[in-house]
Amino acid sequence: MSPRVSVIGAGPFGVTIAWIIGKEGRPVRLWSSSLPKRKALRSKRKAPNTPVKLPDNVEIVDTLEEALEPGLIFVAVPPSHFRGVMKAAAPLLTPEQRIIHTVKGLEPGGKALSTVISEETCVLQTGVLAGPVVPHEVWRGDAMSAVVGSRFHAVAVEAAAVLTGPSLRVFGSHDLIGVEVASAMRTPLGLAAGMLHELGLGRATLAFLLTRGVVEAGRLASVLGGASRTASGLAGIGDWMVTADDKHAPVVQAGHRLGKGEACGYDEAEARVRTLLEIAARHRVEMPITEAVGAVLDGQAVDEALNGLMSRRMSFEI
Amino acid sequence: MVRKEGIARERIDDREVISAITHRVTARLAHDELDILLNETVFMEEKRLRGTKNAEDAAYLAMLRDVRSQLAEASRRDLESLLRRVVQTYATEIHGHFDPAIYANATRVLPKGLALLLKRQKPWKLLTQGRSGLNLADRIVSSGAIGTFDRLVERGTVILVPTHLSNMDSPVVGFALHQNNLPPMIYGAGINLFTNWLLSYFMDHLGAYKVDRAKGHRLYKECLKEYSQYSIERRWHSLFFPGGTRSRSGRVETHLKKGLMGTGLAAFQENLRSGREYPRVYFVPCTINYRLVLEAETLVEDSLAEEGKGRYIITDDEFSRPDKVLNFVWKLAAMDSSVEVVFGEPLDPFGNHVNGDGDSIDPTGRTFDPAGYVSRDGEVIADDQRDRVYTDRLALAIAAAFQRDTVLFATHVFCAVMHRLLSQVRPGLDLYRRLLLGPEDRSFSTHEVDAELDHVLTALRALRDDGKVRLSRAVAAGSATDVRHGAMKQLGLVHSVTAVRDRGDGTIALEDPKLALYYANRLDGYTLPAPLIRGGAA
Repeated sequence: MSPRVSVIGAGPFGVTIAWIIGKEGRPVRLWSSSLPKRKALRSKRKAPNTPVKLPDNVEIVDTLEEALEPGLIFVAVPPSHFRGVMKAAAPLLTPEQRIIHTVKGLEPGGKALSTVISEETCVLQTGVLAGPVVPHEVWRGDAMSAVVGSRFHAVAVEAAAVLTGPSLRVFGSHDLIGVEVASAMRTPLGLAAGMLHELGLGRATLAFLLTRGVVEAGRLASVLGGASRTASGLAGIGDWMVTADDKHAPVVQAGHRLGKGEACGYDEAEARVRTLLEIAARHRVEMPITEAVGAVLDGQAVDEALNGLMSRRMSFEI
Repeated sequence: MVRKEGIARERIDDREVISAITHRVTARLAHDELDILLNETVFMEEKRLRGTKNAEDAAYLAMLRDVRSQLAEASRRDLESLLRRVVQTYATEIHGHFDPAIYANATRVLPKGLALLLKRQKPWKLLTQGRSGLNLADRIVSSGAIGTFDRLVERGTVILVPTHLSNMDSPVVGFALHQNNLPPMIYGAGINLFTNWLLSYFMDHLGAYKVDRAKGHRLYKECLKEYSQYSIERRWHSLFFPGGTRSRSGRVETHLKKGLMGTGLAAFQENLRSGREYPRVYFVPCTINYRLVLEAETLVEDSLAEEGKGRYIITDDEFSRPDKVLNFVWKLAAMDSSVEVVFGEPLDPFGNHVNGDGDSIDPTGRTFDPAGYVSRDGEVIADDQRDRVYTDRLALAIAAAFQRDTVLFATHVFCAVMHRLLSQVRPGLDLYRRLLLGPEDRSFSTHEVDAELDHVLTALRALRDDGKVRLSRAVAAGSATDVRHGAMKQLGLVHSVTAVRDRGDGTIALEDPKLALYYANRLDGYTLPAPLIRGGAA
């Protein structure tokens, strides 16, 4: 039997998930905390700047209580709002529910968002949706792939089943932490990619950046209890490749600004990088690329930061 | 009076229990490749017992060989019958024979005997003092969530999960239960403890069931797990030592065995399926805290050995010498509150806290019914992988409770301080090399010792204030000098070697760094500041 599905958060990604699930004929409840957004979605049946309309079986609901039916819940809100949403949802949740978050970052302070769920609610069956899912390519119907990380096999299988369609293939992973960390690394690597574009550097530099990003993400995942190899999958390098190549991605645009010597102008991205650096320092994990991005955010010139990376001592890849 | 709860609530028909276990194990394994399972069982047992001179073992081996001789020609039905034969043998061996009358007598007589021993009093004087005179509370002190525990035994099945340091743990925790009018519990006891007929008689009738850790094969483990699950379903409150064996190193256990622990969740689900009146299962973490551990010398040797640890079962430690046990108990009697038993906050099988009404509570204090973790729309869904994840979470919660509810005594803190000083003698040496340092490197001025003690005590008291550890009265409030004096006096009491010696020239020598390490290790896992640099505090 297909589970009841809700999506909390009606930003571009939340709307995309509701659309992906809804277009296969599955009923979905979509909730946003913003009344104007709910009104607009209800009247126009689409989010701003999206070419596709939400199917009729996507119901826009007015209260969190209506959205949180027993079943599978996708939460697509920024990390800074995540705990607040979970606190509000907690009295309405039961142990039977499953929560999949789609957030590509860790909470300020460094906690994985799956941890925040279990700290604020009674829900233990949690997961994360990650990978190279680009909304405008999804709407176009391009073939693509994503991964659901969950310690619970059945949760990953269930989430994959509701998301999978003719143009989206969803894999499962038991490495929840690894997927969350790999996904969080999208921000420093996206910023770095923007900086490199701005400096006019080519594909070889990008390849260097992304492959060493795999090592960094792997180190961090390992100390947090995840698997290092997860970073070389869809949630890691798969997602980063798409991000690095997407000049319209806000994080890459922020990287461009930094490359020009301007302010980042993307507070959420800056906060995510600082969170990663805090965790790395706490666990004594070497993360030279993230550190270099952090240094640029602190005012260092991009070429200086790059020189710092290039002049590190020789080491072995394997 | 035995409290009519748990296994004392009903009359047990041994044949019924053995038959139920046999039936359940054979049903569970019905879809397995039984010929391979049985052949593997015989192979492993033959390897273990080859050349045995013990008549019982020889008969058991002959039975297994007979089973093997029939495997090749056996039909499916024959295989099931052979499986039943082996499982019945194990079920019969495992099952204990709790007897409320013996329990009532034992709990009436043993405290008197123990009190006599512990208080060094004349029997007639003891008898004239009445119950208050038999108070063991000043030797075995219980604290923690006793009231909640007391309420939960009537609301479901309680599984007590204590830390494990000594062979004294079972009687100590048994006494603590009795002392607090908590019901008897069944518990798995190593089969090696049943070799003494008197001890065996009492253990068998006081709630112990036999666990033969040498039988490492799958079929035996299935029988053991089934026995545990069956007991929990029947609301026989149970006790497991989740560390498996005694902590060799003296550390608070962090890596817990999850096999038996998972039977709590399995029983909870079966209770829900069967619509039982009291389906809930509660885990009560418990720490048993000793100032001194009789077996410390042997255990730490084993811990330090390259091989051994969990694989090596000590059969010839200090507990095999009755005179040593007696001497040890006698020495313990000279101390106030020699053993502290702390009953922790109860948990559900998913690692959530539970309130006194037996409801699970989420991290923000809201109550909820945990049945939803294993069911959809009211129907219980079987999922072994899911259950392993839940049991992992429970194990983490129990390990955290162990850490939080451990009581650190002066012996632990002082030995840790001596080892911290030793680590500063030649920084960079690993533990094993430090243990080989000569006597001249293992002496420290009392001034240095007290400065480091003061440093560590300050940190421990801050951890205590944050609820991260418990401290004995002396460690909580005593000066560094008091703690040092107290610890040295106690360490000199029971062990055959002296861990630490006051040389009388203003220095203290770490005479046996290995024994001291055993006590020092109790502080592992607590975040402490770096040691003061040697001489820097002078």
